[in-house]
This record gives sequence, C-alpha cells and structure tokens, in this order.
Amino acid sequence: MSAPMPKLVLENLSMVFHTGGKEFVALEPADLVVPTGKFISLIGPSGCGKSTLFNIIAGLQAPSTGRVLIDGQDFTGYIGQVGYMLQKDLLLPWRTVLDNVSLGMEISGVPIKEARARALPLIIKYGLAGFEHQYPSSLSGGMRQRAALLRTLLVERDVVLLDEPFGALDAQTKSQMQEWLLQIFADFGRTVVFVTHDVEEAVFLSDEIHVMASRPGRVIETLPIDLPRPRDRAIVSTPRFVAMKKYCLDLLHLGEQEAAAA
Amino acid sequence: MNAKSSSFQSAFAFAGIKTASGPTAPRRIARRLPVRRIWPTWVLLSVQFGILVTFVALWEIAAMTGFIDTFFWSKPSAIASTMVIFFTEGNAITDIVYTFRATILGFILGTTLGAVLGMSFWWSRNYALIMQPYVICLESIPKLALAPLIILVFGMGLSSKVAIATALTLVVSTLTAYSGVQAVDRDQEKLFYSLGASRWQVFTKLVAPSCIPWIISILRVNIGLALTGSIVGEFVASQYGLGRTILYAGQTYEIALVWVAVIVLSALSMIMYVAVSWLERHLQKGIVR
Repeated sequence: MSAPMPKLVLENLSMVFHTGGKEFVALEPADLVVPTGKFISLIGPSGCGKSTLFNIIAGLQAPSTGRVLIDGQDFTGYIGQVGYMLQKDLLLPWRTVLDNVSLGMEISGVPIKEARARALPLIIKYGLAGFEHQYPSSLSGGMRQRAALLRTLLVERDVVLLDEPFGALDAQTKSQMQEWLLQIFADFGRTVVFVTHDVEEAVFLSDEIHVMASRPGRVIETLPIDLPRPRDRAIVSTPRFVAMKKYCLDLLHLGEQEAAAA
Repeated sequence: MNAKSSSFQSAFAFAGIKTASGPTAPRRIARRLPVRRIWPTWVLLSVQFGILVTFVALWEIAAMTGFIDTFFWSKPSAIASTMVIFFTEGNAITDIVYTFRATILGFILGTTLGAVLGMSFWWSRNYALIMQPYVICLESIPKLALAPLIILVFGMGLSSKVAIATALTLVVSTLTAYSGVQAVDRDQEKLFYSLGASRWQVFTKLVAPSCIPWIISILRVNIGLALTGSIVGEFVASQYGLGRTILYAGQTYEIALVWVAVIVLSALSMIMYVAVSWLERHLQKGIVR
C-alpha cells in the first residue's frame, strides 16, 4: 500500500428501517473515502440520508450493514470518536460561553480548570472575545454557532462532522461564517465532513462534493473541487466556480425529477 | 398618504368591493393602542392599605351594630386583644415552632425525595414504565384521608405531622421532576453522547440542571401543601401546634382565638414564601455546574 491511509472510510454502509412489515431504505449501501485533512461536503434534498449517515459515523445509530473505519480501525457503533456538530447550536443556557466551549473536554475527562485555560485563547482568537463570561442567550446566531463549533473542535478528534451549521443564519452572517470556517479549517487541519443544502456553500468550502438523492437515500455522484486554497470570496464569480455550481444544481434537479417520477 | 388611500380604494373597486363612496360602506374603525398607565407605588400602597382598613372597620361596625353575630364571626377588637393574650400568656412560641418545624421538615423531605424520585425515572425507561401506574395511583389517593392511619403508625408527636406534610408534597414533586426529565431536549442528549459522554455525565451535566427550573416551580406550591399537611395532622391528634390551637378554640367557641391562629399561620406562610423566593433566585443564578 503506497498511498497514505485515508482518515475516514465508510464501507458498504446502509440503513434500512422496518416499520409495520414495510421496509424503508434510508440509505442504500454507500462507500466513502475521506483522505486526511480534506474538506468534503454532502449535498442533497431532505430525506437523502445525510443525517442518518452522520448519526452512524458518530455512533448514535447502528447501521444495517457496513463499517466505519477511522485510521483503518473499525469504530462502528462507538461514540465520542468524531466531533459532531448538530444543526442547532445546543449551547447549555445555564453555562457561560467559556464553560459551554469547555464541555466537550470536560466530558472527555479534562479537569475543568485546564479545559477553561485551553478554551479561553481560542474563544478570544476566533471572534468571541469579551463574551467568554456571557450566557448564550446574549449571543447572536452567528456567535452561538462559533461557540458550538469551537466546542466541537476542542474535543480534539481528527474527524469533524458539521450538519448544516449555517442553515439558520442570514445571508451576510453566513458568508462571514464560511470564511471564518475556512480560516479554522486551515489552522486546525482537521478532516471535515460537511452537510448543506446550499450548493454555493459546498463548492466554496470543499475539496470534494458528494451529491445525494432521496427515496432511497444514496450517493449519485462524486465531484472533486480543484479550486486553489486559500480561497477568497471573489472566487464565486469565476467561470470555473459558476460551472461547478451549475453542474451540482443540475444533478440535484435530476435527482428530484427521478424521485418525483418514482 | 392621499395617493396611498386612493390606490387602496381603487384596488377595492377593482376587486368588486364597494368603496367608501358606496352606500353600505363599512365604517373605518380608528382605534389607538390602549395605554396602560401604572400608578406610582405610593398610590398603590395607600389604596391597598385603605382596602384593609375599610374591611376591618366595616367588620367592627357590623359587629357593634349587631348586623353580624359576634358569636360566630368575632370582631377585630376582640381578635386584637386575644392576640395580645395569646403572645403574652399562652405558649404561643411553642405552638408556632411546633407547626413551623413540621412544615419545614415535610417541605424539605417531600421536595427532595420527590425530585430525586422523579429524576430517577430518567435512568431506565423500563423502570419508569413499570412505576408509572403506581405514581398515578398515589397521585389519585386523597393523601389527607390517610392522616388518621399515619397518626396511628407514627404516633401523636412531630414525626406524624412531618409524614403527612411529606406525603402531600412528595407526589407533586415527583410528577413535576418527571415532567422535567421528559422535557430534556433529545438533541442535547445526542450532543452529549456524540461527545462520548457516559450516562452519569449526561445525568449530572444535562438532566439534573434541566430539571432545576421545574423543581423551582414546585417550591411555592409545596409550601402551601406542607403547611396544610402539618395542620391537618394536628387536627387529627396533637398536643401542640397552631392547628391544634384552632381545633381547640373552635370546640370551645373561642372564635377570636381561631382568627388569631389563622393570622399567625398566614404570616408564617408568607415568611416561608419570601424565603423560597430567595432560594429560587439563588438556584437560578447557576449553582448548577
């Protein structure tokens, strides 16, 4: 084996629910290989099995078939092996920003003082300076997402799953957050799996996009994004970017038509 | 403004609705947002005080003129002089402390045990499902009806009063804490598990803190329940206490003394109310970690 071992491998992963004698295929057998330090996105309509896939990788659901390999080791059904940021920020209202960000470390057994000491510089560096002792209720939507993402990153897992983290933000905040995320991605060098509905977001952020379709949930196409990094917002108007975006949109549209016909 | 209204009118006309010029035009209602003015504090206080004074004065006058029968209703002046006697000559302090102690012990025991019991249902769904009918059963039993039995078991002393007060507060606290447990955000639980949390960590860092507001909400209710419990316990059988004083006074037709005891009980309950409000603020301020 000459190539370096991929960080995350999904092997033949599928999910079938049985309800009242009927079979519902949430996810057809899927294979996915994510090299170390890459940013990949999953895009697709709702019900395409994105969340199911994430839950399986995070060990919160057992797959019907298949395995989840991290660094070549089988971690199917184990929790706490990847960082997982859900759609909602899920900050605890009774904890300050600092203690919310420290939560992940606290759970993995880091003493609270040390966890705070590690969290504080990052809070200050990544746009939450002055808010470390505030409660989440006094934060804006974008800031809450920042805190939630820092909490996820501080657990120090190589693989980070982000489930539509910017879905609920307004357009301007969203684009700020995307640039912020790219900065973080460059600084931390984690392997990121990102779910979004927003095609432009996916193209702007990713190294590779996996387009999914629903009923049954499946991956229909894999598309490498070979735009140079670091990326600037201006890139979104280059012909190459526009072409890739259009290609993805066409694929999604096709998937929808198929689903409607079925 | 004019241009706007005329364009509205033409839009109505276009839609075939009669405009303001038509014979059956609906009258346009011009209503302002109601202004709710709050009076200054001294006005509110003097009105409150005025109501009290008027009430007491009317009662006294009605008693003097024979409009009400003082044998049944007593009168403020008699109540006041009985109050003085009660505090100077009787064993007022003994009775007050007795009732107070039973109430507070019952309140603390019932609330704590109930909260622990209610939250324990989070631990196992099977355990919760098995216990559910029993909890509902316990809720439907009129606990006060068990008072004579509790007195038999626990004796005439303080412990039986505490037991009744506990029984009254326990079930409500259990149900409320259980509701709190059920209201814990599933996604939040998911987040904890995705971080690799153990069940104990989820319980101490998520479930217990989430239940705090629910438990706080029950504290005020429990004051009243605990007080009721200890008084009823004293009604059934007791040597001391304000409940016993009321029962004794009623049986010997000392209506003024009944009122005195009721007034003292209300004062006690108000003091506890203030104490609980203080407790609430401190609990909410994030003792939780």
